[in-house]
Amino acid sequence: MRWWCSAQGTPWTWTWQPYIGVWILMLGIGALYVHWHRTAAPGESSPARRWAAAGGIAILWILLDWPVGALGAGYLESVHAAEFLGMVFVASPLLLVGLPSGWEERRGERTAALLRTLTQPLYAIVGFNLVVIGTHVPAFVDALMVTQIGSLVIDAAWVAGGLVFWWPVVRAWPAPLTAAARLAYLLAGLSLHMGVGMFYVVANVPLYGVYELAPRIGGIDPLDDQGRAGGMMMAGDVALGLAAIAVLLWLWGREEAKRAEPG
Amino acid sequence: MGLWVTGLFRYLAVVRLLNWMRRSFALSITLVLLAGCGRERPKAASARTLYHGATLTPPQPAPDFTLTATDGRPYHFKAETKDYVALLFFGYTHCPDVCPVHMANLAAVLDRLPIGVAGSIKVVFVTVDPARDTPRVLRTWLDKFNPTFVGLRGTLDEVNRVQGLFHMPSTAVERLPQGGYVVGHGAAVIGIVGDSVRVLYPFGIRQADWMEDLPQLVAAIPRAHQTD
Repeated sequence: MRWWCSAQGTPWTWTWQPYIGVWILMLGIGALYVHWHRTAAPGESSPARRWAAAGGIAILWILLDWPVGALGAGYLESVHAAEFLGMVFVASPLLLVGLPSGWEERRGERTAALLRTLTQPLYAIVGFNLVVIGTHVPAFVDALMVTQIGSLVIDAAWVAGGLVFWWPVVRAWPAPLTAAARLAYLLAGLSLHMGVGMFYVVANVPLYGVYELAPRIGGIDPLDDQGRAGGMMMAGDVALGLAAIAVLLWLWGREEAKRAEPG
Repeated sequence: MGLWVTGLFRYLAVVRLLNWMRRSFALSITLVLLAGCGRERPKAASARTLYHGATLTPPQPAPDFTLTATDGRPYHFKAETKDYVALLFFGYTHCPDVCPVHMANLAAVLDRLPIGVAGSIKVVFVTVDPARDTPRVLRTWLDKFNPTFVGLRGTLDEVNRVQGLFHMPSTAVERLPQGGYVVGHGAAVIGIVGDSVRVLYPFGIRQADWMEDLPQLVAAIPRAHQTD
């Protein structure tokens, strides 16, 4: 029995496999959210926030557990890219939205200070991009993905990077950014990731040994799969970027309208 | 000996992805091969690694053999490959991991190499499972990768003899509890230029490595023999 998905080098099988570590972690995160919402002050928790938390945990669980987690860890780079997009751009913001509104105020002083530092937009964007680069360096990925702990490190880095990246956009703490600043921040944050996707598309050899040397599934060529992964990353960035621009422009317009109101 | 062979096969069957493991494996194969040949140690001065596999310094003479091609005709290895780079591999079509990955990676690389280089390379696949790999099965399987790949068959004794000529371990059959069997075999692709064995590529060799090495190997074919 294995506790976390990692590359095994054995032929893929559709036989279900339990990954106990994923279950324990997801149940633990779920229990934490239940605790935070139960102990939140009146008005800080809401059905929308609870649904967002549940959605974030459910998506994270699907991405980490069999079969998605196992396919992404050792067989198909495109699935790994989908996991990245899902963890960083869907599950992470949902988990942040799912926190009670006054959650930060209830942390200890040291935790709050650490959060304030990590989530400063400049640090957040640098930290997120370091995670993006570090977790896509071929030698690093090939070395980590063959062990359960290494694979867990990559998954954890993605979620942590996603949380830090989205914090200045989603959480209005310690001070809310203007819509224009959030727009600039998001576009700056996505650009490097877009570059990684482009690199996948133009590379003429498979970059990761873990996928190139894995037993093939359905005869899928690793170079084609790598191109597909790059295309997905770029498409995900473009879709997310456009959606964010639309929402933030709307917010921006609303801010300007409020400012222009007399009195 | 049986235990040693079984242990070796199990080792070869495990997919090793880390580079340091690949390199150490390549080195050990070289040493085993050279020791098996009763040759002197490679000379340090000329031991510069030219290739990503285990380079044989000096190159070893390529043994000759004849097996049957998938079209039923005898295939005289030396005569058929003397003007080419031959990439010789012993495997079988029911192989779950190493064989299809090697073949798929070679096919992908040959597709991307200039035609003059790719046309000077012959991939020769010798089945170590002649009972299941009928000529038709073998041909169909190889065609999925590249129709130019040569498929060879013989009796198990003949194939074991040929493996022995190349200092590869003999075939070992392991019965599976759920029925059927897997066949233990060497995982290295043997790189032969003209009439000499130049390099051994263990499992773990990457497409990028092939892309660099194959043009070099083709360039090493005696010029009079090179194709355009």
